[in-house]
Amino acid sequence: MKSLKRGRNLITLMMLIFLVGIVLLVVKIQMEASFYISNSGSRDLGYVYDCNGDIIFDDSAKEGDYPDGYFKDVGNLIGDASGQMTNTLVANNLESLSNYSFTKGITRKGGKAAIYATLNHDANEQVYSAFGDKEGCAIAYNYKTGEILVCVSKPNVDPLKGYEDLADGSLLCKAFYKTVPGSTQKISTLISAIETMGIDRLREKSFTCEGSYTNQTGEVINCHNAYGHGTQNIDEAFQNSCNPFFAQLVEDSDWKLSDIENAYKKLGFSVNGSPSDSIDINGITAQTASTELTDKYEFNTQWSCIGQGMSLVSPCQMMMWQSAIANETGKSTMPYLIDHVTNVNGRIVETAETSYSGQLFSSSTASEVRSIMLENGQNYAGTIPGYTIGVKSGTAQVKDGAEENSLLTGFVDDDNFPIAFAVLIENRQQYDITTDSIVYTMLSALD
Amino acid sequence: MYKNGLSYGGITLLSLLTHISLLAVVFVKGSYETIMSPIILSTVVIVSDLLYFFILRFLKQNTYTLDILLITLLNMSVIFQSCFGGVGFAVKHFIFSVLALACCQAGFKLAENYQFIEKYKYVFYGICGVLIISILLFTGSRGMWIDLGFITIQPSEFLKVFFVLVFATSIAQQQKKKKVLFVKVVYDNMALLALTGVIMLLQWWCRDLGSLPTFAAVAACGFLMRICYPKAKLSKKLIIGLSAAGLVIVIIALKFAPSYVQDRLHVDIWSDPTGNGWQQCQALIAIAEGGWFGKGPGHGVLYKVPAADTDIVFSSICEEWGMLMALLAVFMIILLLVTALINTPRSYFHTTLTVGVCAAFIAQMALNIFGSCNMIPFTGVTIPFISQGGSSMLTCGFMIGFLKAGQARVYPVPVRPAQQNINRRTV
Amino acid sequence: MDGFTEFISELAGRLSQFTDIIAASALIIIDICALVIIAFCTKEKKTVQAQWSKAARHMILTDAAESFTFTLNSQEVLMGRHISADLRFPDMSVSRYHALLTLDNGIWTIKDLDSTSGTYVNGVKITEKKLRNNDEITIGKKKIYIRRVKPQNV
Repeated sequence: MKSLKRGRNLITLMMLIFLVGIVLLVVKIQMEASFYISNSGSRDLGYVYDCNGDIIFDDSAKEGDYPDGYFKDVGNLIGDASGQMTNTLVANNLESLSNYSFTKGITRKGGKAAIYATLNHDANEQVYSAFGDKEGCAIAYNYKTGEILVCVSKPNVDPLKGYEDLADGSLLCKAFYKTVPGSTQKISTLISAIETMGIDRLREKSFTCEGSYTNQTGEVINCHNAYGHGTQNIDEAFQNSCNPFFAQLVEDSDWKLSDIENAYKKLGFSVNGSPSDSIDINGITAQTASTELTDKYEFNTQWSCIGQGMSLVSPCQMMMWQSAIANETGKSTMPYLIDHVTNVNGRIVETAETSYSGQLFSSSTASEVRSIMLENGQNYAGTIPGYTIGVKSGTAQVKDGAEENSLLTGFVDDDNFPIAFAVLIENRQQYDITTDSIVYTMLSALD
Repeated sequence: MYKNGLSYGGITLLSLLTHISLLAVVFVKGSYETIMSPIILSTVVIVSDLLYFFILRFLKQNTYTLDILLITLLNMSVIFQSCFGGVGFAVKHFIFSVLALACCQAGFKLAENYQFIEKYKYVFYGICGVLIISILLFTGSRGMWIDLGFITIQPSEFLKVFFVLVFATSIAQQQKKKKVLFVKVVYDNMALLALTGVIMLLQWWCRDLGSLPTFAAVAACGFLMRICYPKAKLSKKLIIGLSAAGLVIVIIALKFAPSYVQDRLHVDIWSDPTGNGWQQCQALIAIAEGGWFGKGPGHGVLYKVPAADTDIVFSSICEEWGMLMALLAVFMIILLLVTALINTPRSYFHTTLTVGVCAAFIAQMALNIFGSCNMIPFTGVTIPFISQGGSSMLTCGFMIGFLKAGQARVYPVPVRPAQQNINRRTV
Repeated sequence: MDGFTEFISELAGRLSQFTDIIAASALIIIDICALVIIAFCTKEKKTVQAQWSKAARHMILTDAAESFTFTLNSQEVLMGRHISADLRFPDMSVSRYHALLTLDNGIWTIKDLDSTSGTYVNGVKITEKKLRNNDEITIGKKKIYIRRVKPQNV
């Protein structure tokens, strides 16, 4: 009967929709069960190991189980499961650590769920202690694969000792947050200039530095060398880190402000509040860079291109640009912290793969910048002996000029030791530890 | 003796075996203080089983499988409900399961003869009206229960039964068209449209947003069954096309809806696991902890969460009995409805009634299960027969009675043959 | 593939415990119970059909040449030209919804649904009439007969 069949079809249809929903539900629960368990009070979390098999996170550890300050150098990077810090490896990967499977349930003892991190704990500790009484951060990674080997931020937190009486900034890993780049910004400006003008036209230009430069709107740009650098081309000015040269370059009639803006945006800058992506490192969010460019004859815009003004760059982003330069591809290698993850039965369920960013600048630009930086690196043969490096240093005035931060970013030119790095020392005084020596400690520890 | 001449010995035995095997799980995996509590539970379940099957023999009807399935399901749910947070005996749930069986029989007797209902349809409209007024007067704008002191009842649940009943229609009734202005309409359809509108507004006013989709599903299916006899050309293709277009519009509207609407529809429970999302988070964690086979009856901790035996009962069963068992329980409810597909009703009235009951059941189950698992917004509705709750058990019993009326009805055979037929004469 | 073998070994691990064996067997018994009941449901279908045929007095619709037989299998049978009619006559002389056959207490009744050409039983125009065996029904240009067939199992 047709009329009765209609009802039957309708019921069948409703049941089918419901059953599809049930199937989706079962699939959803299967996929997300580990996540649910990691949010429950009865979870059991596995370890995080470093690249040499040292434990760098142990949920069940109590004070005294490990040597004093054992986790001090990785506290705000690896973090813990207490929920005090949200931008850490453990907080964002609790799911991978839970000793649980839907069939087996929670394994209380002997579960093999673990994260094998790329970090080198030994090198990390050495870099951490190299900072001495200074604060700052250092980050280094393999620019061919993307493995983060060192990531230190000081002051730090020892999760075993709790969260009371901590210094400001202890809970954030500074490598992932924006800071004033100082003269390291000249790398970005150099890249932008080569991208828009081409290296040949750029080399033709030379400007004179007399210790200071009065720009077209009548404001004075001072150089760190009060006696002036004389007349220089781009290579010399980059080595001298000459502020008046770069101010005049920005003012140059061959270079339009929109060109600078576009090149900066391609590099990942948020220019005048434009949106920019953040970097995701296994769930950890790292900031990129931002600046403001309004009028190329104006003081603030020129300083933004030199490294002060409104420019802010995170050390992680500086390091990633180095990979694009060192690889001569113009594409950053994306950093990662997790090499592989094992589940409760010890089976590897997730393995890291090297990935790259989009084209930030052309590969020919990358080669040119690389050779300019390598040339500059020769000046560091005394402080960082034994390595062929390309670097750029920087000094950034913060807190309205009350303090000066010292920065150094660069790469090692060695196929068997492909390290890109960025180091920041906060409030550095004249006889304090130098960024060079921290880089040297880091490279020797990793080598 | 069963009245249709078939033997049900094997099936009743299997049903009993089902309960015995569940009770065995309670004995070996359960958490109880004294051995007496599982023994009491077993005694009650098995004795009530035997009693039900004994009584069933004396009922005059064409099919019995629906009743046997219902008995199996009800005593399963008694066992489930008795074990939350420690093996005991859910007296209230047991009493209501007995009442639900009685309601099933009452619903069967009520809906058996459709001419009777067609004749007194205005009575059922009247009952709907009374229930609506009682909601308006007694529950208040933000509540759904009437507190009588010794018992609280939920009038919207009872409204559901009569709503399904008034939506059922025969073909003859759909052919009684009157011309109003330019269009031919069936007065009954107009009355239903008005009733649906009133109930929707009422549900909105009560913030009983859980019942609203159930009523909407019943109304949608009911109207779909009704407009299949139009004078106008409303072909199947047009209906399918229109509903597809409607679906696309809804999806697009949701995609571009203002963020506060979207927030309401998709709540990120994990961003607030101790606040608004607490119930659901606990429910999901419980499912994960239960796994396929569960922690064992009575070992769960979800019973501490409010509405553990009603709104998130699926998770409670998942935790203690395992996901497979919870899915089986849902499967049993679906099977209740499947019987209506096998033994199809013999009249259009019962077909529409069956469709209405199926719509209500499936909508409720979907809202409860998918809601508690955060696939759709969480609303407090019950799973038929599995959830604890008096009003819900009784109304579901009634509705299964309607389902039974479609398939188990005994048709009157005329005592006196109207005329000798030619075939017989030639023999 | 690894995931699958892992799942099997985990499952085997669980099912080696006594309590889980009981739980799994309970699941299987419920499954069997549900399936057997549903299988039995189809068996009941025959008794329901037999009961129905008896109540409907084994009536069928057919035409003079017996080129088709239509078993009256539900309490209401709608005849007409429209696609949703139970018994459909694709003939312009038949209205979209022409007539309705209803069973009440073992008696089939035909009712005209305000059709354009009218409904005739044994040549007499009717609006509603109880039918007897071998009655001739005319709707539009079509002539059909209601007949009682001998039950097969008698």
